[in-house]
Amino acid sequence: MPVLEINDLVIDFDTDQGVVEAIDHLTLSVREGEILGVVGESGCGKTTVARSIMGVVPQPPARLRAGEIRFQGEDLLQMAEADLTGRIRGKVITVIPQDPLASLNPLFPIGVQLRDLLKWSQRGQRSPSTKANRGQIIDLLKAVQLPSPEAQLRKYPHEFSGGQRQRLLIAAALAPNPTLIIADEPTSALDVTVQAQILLLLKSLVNERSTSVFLITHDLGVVAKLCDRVAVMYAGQEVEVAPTAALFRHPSHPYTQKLLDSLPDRQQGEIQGIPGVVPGLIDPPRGCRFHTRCEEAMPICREQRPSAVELFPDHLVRCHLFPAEEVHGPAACIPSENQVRRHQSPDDENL
Amino acid sequence: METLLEVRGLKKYFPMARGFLKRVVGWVKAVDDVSFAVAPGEIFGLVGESGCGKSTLGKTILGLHQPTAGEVRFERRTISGLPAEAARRVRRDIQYVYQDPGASLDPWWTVGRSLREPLVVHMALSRPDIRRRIEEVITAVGLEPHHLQRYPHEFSGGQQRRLALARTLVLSPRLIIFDEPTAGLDVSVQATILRFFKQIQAQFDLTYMFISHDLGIVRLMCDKVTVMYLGAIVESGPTEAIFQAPTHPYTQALLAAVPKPEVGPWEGTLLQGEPPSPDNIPSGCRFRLRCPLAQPDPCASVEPTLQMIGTGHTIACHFATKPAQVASAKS
Repeated sequence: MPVLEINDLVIDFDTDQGVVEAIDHLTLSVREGEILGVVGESGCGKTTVARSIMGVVPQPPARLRAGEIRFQGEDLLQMAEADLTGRIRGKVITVIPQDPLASLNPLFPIGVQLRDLLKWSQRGQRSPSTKANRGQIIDLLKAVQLPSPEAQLRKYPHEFSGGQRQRLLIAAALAPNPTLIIADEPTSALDVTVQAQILLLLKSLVNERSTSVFLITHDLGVVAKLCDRVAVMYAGQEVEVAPTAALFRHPSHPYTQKLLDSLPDRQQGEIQGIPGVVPGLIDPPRGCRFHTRCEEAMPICREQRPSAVELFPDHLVRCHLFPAEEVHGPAACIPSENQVRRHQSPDDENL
Repeated sequence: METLLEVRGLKKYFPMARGFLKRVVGWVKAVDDVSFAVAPGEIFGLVGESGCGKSTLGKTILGLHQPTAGEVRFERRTISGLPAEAARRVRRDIQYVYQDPGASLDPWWTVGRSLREPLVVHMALSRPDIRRRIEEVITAVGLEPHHLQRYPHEFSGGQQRRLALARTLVLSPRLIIFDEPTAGLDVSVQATILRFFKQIQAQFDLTYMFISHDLGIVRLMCDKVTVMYLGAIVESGPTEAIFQAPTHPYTQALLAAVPKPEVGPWEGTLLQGEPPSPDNIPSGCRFRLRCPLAQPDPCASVEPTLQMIGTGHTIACHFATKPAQVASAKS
């Protein structure tokens, strides 16, 4: 049962240069207790989607043209602002932001900030005693493995290192025991040795609590290590959605294949890239938005937007190489060799 | 072995001043006794996490920082500590490509003017010669002469990197130092730019020094790799030796920490904690506080020196002698 369902979402932005068609009929879902990775290059709309879930896309300049975002059945887009603040934001959906320093108030000790956050999430309920709250904050700091939590409460944000600040924000996001956490590039400012610690910590904490995570990243390595399912986005559309193992084993959309080919770790011999640049989203390419850079583009790609096809069970692709009517039974689900070029490294078999 | 660039016992300390009188209360040891040599035609990689001193090292080689101790030799001549005029002549041969291409392109100048500037400063050429040189270079980096009339903001991120490189190429340098040359680029563009850098290197017979925190890029680009931790070299060797048989515990941990785009758990030991600050380097081995192999003796008291463990492969560690066998996706 999905916790969050985004159906056919369309978001435009009015700018001086024209209308930016940022999100184009996007359909995604986050299931209970899973980590969904949302990957794509800069400007593909991943952050806009995250913001629209939280209802913090400013309108204007944004215009929500169509679609719905259902959280446990309720459409967040139709919800009144007071309801969103009262019941949703910071209570059942929380955020782990990219830049920890920008998200902590430099003038208050972190103990005070975490307490305020907890109180905010308890509004409308009988609030527990101050002592109980303090106990809960200390438990959270222990959970994110900050040494001697009692002593940390009086410290100010600048007294922590980058990794510790990110741990604090994970603690803050977990504080109200949310159903869904939106993590926007949570480790992109950290060094690799610290990133590894933080990601493993995040994974174990959300798995323990069966919290769902909507994880935005540009790093396919992070996706491989952390996520249960992946959605690949290109120019405001989801082009491929699949379980992580399936995506790395059988990347099917030409864009996903090219993206994987671009990774330094997967290069074999000649360095690959994707020719051309990401198209501007003012008057974007019609039909499939990737057709301008796709080596396998056909005439139909310029005219018609491909619909999502379930290529394998739970593995959706939006590409005219896989026409909907041809995919029926299990036999038809196995694409031919030229449709799915295998991206296997030699130790792929040991997975 | 022929050497183009040699760094000997290089140190760069920055003073930390406190109070009204700016009393020096300590030193940030950004680069602490580093020695290495780069052969002509080589792509030399320098990796490490933020704050390990790799950029300071690059800038000290270029002469933007005066070294606290040690020397930099280029084509068998000492170039560190030269008077300004002589230093400028050397700088024609050593060029630096910054992380942010905006840093080398003036937003108010056309690209043509930005490319002309170094030629006017460094070379006495006639106007038609300058023009010919600029057009040659702009074509070599895959752009057109008509792009010279444009301004930097009219170019994409990838094109800006090409222009930043073009600005160094007009002077026909021998050595180009790249400082995180693809930071901020998307992977698909990054791959294209890296391929382009390699092609230019072969075409103009250049030597590259590649400073990066991204091990994947270094593996792909470099012939030799040097790993730095807190201002010092911990391991150095041919790229394949470093990646196939990383021996220093820090190198092993650094490689293990990179999330590989393969499904499965993280392999190898992951480090705990974060690097200490370079103004407070631990006694003895600087890595010992995070090292899985560390012992009170001798790690806390004696600083390990670089030992040869294979052809051109050196490490600074009291205990590690055997390389870790790393299952490689590339082999």
